Amino acid sequence: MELTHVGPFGGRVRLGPFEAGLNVLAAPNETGKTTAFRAAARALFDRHTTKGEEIRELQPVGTGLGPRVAVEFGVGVERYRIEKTFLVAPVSLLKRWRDGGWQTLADGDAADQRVQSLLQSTLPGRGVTRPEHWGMLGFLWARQGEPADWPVFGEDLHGQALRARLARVELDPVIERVCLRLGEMAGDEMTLRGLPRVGGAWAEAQREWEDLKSRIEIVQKARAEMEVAHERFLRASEQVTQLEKEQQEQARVADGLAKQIVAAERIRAELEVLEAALESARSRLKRVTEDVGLRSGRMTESRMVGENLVRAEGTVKEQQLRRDSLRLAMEQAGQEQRTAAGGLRELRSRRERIRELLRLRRLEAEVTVLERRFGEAVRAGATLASLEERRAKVPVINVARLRGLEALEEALRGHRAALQALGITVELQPDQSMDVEIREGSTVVRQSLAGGQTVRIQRPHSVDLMLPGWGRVAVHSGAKEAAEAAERARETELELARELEAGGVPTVQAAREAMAMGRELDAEIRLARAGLETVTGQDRGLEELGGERDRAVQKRDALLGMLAPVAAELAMGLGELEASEAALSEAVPVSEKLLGEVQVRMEGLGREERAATEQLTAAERVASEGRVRIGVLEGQLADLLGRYPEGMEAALAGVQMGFVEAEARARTARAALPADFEKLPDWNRRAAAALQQIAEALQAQWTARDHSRGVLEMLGGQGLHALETGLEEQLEEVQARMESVRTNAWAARVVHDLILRRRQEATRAVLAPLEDRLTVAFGELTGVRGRRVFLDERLQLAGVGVSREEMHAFGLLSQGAREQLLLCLRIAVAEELAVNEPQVLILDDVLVNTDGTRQQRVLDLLSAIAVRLQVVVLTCHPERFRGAGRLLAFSPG
Amino acid sequence: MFRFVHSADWQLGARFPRFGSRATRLREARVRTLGRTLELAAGRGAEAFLVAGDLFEDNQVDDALVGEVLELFGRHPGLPVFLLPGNHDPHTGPECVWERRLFRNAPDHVRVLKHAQNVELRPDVFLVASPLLQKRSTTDPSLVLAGLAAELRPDAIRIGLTHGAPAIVGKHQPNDFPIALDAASRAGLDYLGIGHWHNWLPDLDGGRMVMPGTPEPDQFGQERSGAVAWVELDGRGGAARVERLEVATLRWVVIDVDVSGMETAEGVRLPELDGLDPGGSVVRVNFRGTTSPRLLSEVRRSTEARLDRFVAWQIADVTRVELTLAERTDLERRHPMLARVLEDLDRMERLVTGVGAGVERGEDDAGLSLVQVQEMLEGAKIPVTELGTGQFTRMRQLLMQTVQEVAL
Repeated sequence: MELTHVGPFGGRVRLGPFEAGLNVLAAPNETGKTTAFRAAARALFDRHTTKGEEIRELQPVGTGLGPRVAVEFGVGVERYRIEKTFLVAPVSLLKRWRDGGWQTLADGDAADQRVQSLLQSTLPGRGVTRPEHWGMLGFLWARQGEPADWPVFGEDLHGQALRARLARVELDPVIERVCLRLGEMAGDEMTLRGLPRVGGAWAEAQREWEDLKSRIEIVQKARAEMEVAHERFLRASEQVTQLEKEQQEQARVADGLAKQIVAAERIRAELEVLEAALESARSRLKRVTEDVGLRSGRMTESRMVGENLVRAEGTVKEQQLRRDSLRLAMEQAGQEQRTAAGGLRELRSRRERIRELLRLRRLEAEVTVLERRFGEAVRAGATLASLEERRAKVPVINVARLRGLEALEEALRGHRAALQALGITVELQPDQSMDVEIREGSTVVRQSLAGGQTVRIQRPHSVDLMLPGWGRVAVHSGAKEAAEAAERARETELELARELEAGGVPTVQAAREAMAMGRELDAEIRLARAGLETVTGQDRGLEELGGERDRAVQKRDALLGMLAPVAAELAMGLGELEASEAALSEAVPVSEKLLGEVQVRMEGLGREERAATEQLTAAERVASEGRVRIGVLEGQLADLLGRYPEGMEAALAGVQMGFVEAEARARTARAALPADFEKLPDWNRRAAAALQQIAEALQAQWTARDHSRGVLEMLGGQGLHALETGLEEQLEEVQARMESVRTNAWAARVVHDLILRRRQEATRAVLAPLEDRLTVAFGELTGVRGRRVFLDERLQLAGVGVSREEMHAFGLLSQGAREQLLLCLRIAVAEELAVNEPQVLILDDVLVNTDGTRQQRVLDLLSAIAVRLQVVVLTCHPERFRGAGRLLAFSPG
Repeated sequence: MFRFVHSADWQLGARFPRFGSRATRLREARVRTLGRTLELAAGRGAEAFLVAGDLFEDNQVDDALVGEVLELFGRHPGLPVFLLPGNHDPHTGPECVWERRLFRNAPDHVRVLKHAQNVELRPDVFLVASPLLQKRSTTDPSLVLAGLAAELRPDAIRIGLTHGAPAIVGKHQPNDFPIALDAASRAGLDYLGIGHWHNWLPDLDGGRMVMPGTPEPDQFGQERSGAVAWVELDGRGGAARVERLEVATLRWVVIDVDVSGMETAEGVRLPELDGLDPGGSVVRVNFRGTTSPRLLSEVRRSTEARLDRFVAWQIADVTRVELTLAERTDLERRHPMLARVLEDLDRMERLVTGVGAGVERGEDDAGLSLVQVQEMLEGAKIPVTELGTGQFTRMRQLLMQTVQEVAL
């Protein structure tokens, strides 16, 4: 680079040459590093005539000098030099190195364009260029102070070309133009969402189509209305035909009915006259027939009444004789009845006296028995009292108490046996018999001992013996168990004594005996009581028995006083009395039966007498009435016969003939009447109403039919088919046009989308190598392995992570990480491009946020890539790049 | 002898939507054919002009057409015209074309047969007519003819006229007014003129029943249409002599072109077009085979230019776009990515349409998957069902054309 009148450089300065590998321009801030490179970029990419602010900033402060910049660069195997002067007398001069010197290749605008072509850069419409116009350098130049972002590859040709070049995608401008053109074709007719675009041919055709369709629908609706009207017309016509036919039929029926009514009325008038004559004949016949019957009846009645009179008079005589005979028999029977009644009263009186005497005798016997039983009861009561007295003196020992005493006694025996076992045993065997005294406390027991025999004396704890001839021998034991056994024996003994005292017995044996005696006395007492109850009766005492005896005595005495029996009666034995009572008891029923028979006969005779009296009275009444009736009947017959001087039979024959003739005439007239002539008026009225209804319905259907006819004639004349035909044909044309446009639009859209898809597929396929390079570079820079860097289809940094699904998005990384990633991306891209042609990577004070450790790795990385790339580092921290690459410095021109 | 013209299925006012605005020419041609046929009948001394149904395409044709037709009839007052309503123009009621004021004021020699009736054509010749009163029916409209004919005197010539489909097994719909194949014999007719089908069918019921077809073809491939029947009857019981009179104004021509192997657009010469009357032909060109997008595009352009002078035309392109080996090699060399895109289109076509020569997707291939195709199409709101071979052909054409355009 050669700079004249640029920024801080008032005169001419040079920088370079730059060599392959790492070049480091280390200088403090504001010494013109960045300005020098920006000036070089202006020389390479901007028109020499450009006068933008960015160009003016190159001027030395406060001067109007035109900045002049010369840059030597290489493309392929050629070396070029571009020299540009801006603002003041602008100049552009492109030279090529040939034969050891610079030869001018182009100047002015041609030089600008030639450089642009060499560097594959572009120009903006106006103003200065921006990095996106700088071709690859736009991506490989990391500019100081600019955001840590990767430039977006635009959709323009340049952006696409860059993207294709980076991703080694086939760069085919034809395809791009085809895609663009197809997109335009599709876009002219349809929106991105597939809808017809307003103003497009498709939308216009669709609008026309819908308009025609609606017009066709109107015509079809009219045709449908005509169909409906036609149906209505047919129905109305059919109804009219049917109603007219019905009207004719109904009129015929009504006419027939009217004629029938007139004829029937005439016949009915004649019939009424004939019916009246018939009725008159019937009346006459009835009257004569009744008179004939009356005469016959009265004559029969008169004969019967006479016969009854004769029979009644005979009956009167017969019943008078019978009544008298019965009255006599009744008087005889009354006498017999009175005699029998007297005998019966006598017998009953005697029988009652004998019965009272028998009762007296029985009372006397009862008194005797009661007195004997009373004596026995008194004796039994004395015995019972004696036993109870004895029982009271015997101690009351029951089984429980006895068992308690026996238990205590047994315990005492046990204690004593134990005591003996524990106590002292002294065996004495005297040579000769002798008596010894054994002392126990204050008690002395003398015991005889046989000579040569052994006697064993046992005591609990001491034996005190007086041995004759020897003296006293006292043996003592101090054993504790013996003392306790003795204590238990003593306590038991005391308890036994208390119990014996409580039971009122001295010993246990006495208790046993007392209990046995008590039981025996109790049995005797029960026996005595049973004997007493036998005499007195159960639950009765001696007093009750005495009372009973006394009441029997009173009864006997009272009866005796009442009867006052005579001596003969008193002398009669009980058997005689009973025999007499039995004989009287048999005689009384016989007498009673006899009296009953007499009474029955009396009643029978009375009834017969009353019946005979009644029959007699009735016969007398019948005879009287018969005589009166005969007189009346004879008078009536005379009157009846008097009304028919020609004789009753002749009169009857005459009226019968007249009736038959009248009846025949009426029947003939009735047969001439119609069967339902009475209903004819109703039928006639109904027929008239039906006719009226039919006429009204017919009128309605005529109206409906005529209306439908009018509608049909009106619609039929409109030529709806012709209208529809024209519209359908127009519709067909519009539809064909619409389908053609739509088919084209769809075809363009589908092919466009398929091309895009193929391009994306291709881009995606070549992403992997680039990502590999990037991952390696980032790993070396950060020292962290195992993370992969991912790019998206537009070659933008997507993020970092173990997988695409789990990566950290680029935008969310730290500023330092983003700087480092971008450096890696630039390195990766530069290396990728360097495969085909040399590339330069310019790093202007980047990685300001990188720590010291990573800075070393940066140097490692830059050193590693410097064998393949030309790298230019601008830094204000020379210490960071100390020892790395070649150091550059501005030198005076 | 009695001579008359039996026609049917004029379908005046017919709709031809596939021809767009040129459809008007087709309709006009039908009216011209009617006028010319009337002149022919009058010139030959016909004693009646019979239309066995479907004079009009629809009951709702416009009055202008009706007036034009009546004006044509009015030019030949000596030629009695008998019009029978068919299934397209049945006599349904006040709305039908036959009840228009124009018809009520029609010339006396024009008679509409609105109901089944006998009409005296000559003292010894009677027309026995059975018109249609609705658009569809399973009833044989010829059934009433026997009863009507029986009312005529025995020696009178009986000419039947009705409209419906001959009841040929497998060739008619049950509700399409099936006419018994012995309808003429059954009714004791000397001739039964029917209409409905559009192709000439003269030999029904031993030649007594004739279907003349439409006098003016209305679709491609309609080989036996374009005529009316000239009928001569000598007397009661005699055989009818039927002559086919060609009256069609337009020829409907189909030209098949296989573009496979052609190297330049000039290779498609279409010599058939040279022999056609542009004012009297409707042409359809079917392109088949495979060719390059560029060539196909050129062929289509040149063909359209040549067809434009015809009354109406269609191009049916069922070709497949295929690059020549040289083109593909060149593309592969110069723009390998675009070659991949073409492969993507092949694959997409096969995935979407199930046809085409899609490339198998290899392990290292970045070819499209169905999911990717769906995502791509959904993003552009392109319904998969709307994409067919034509669309893919267009895509390839567009790609190649654009490449050519931008490479210039």
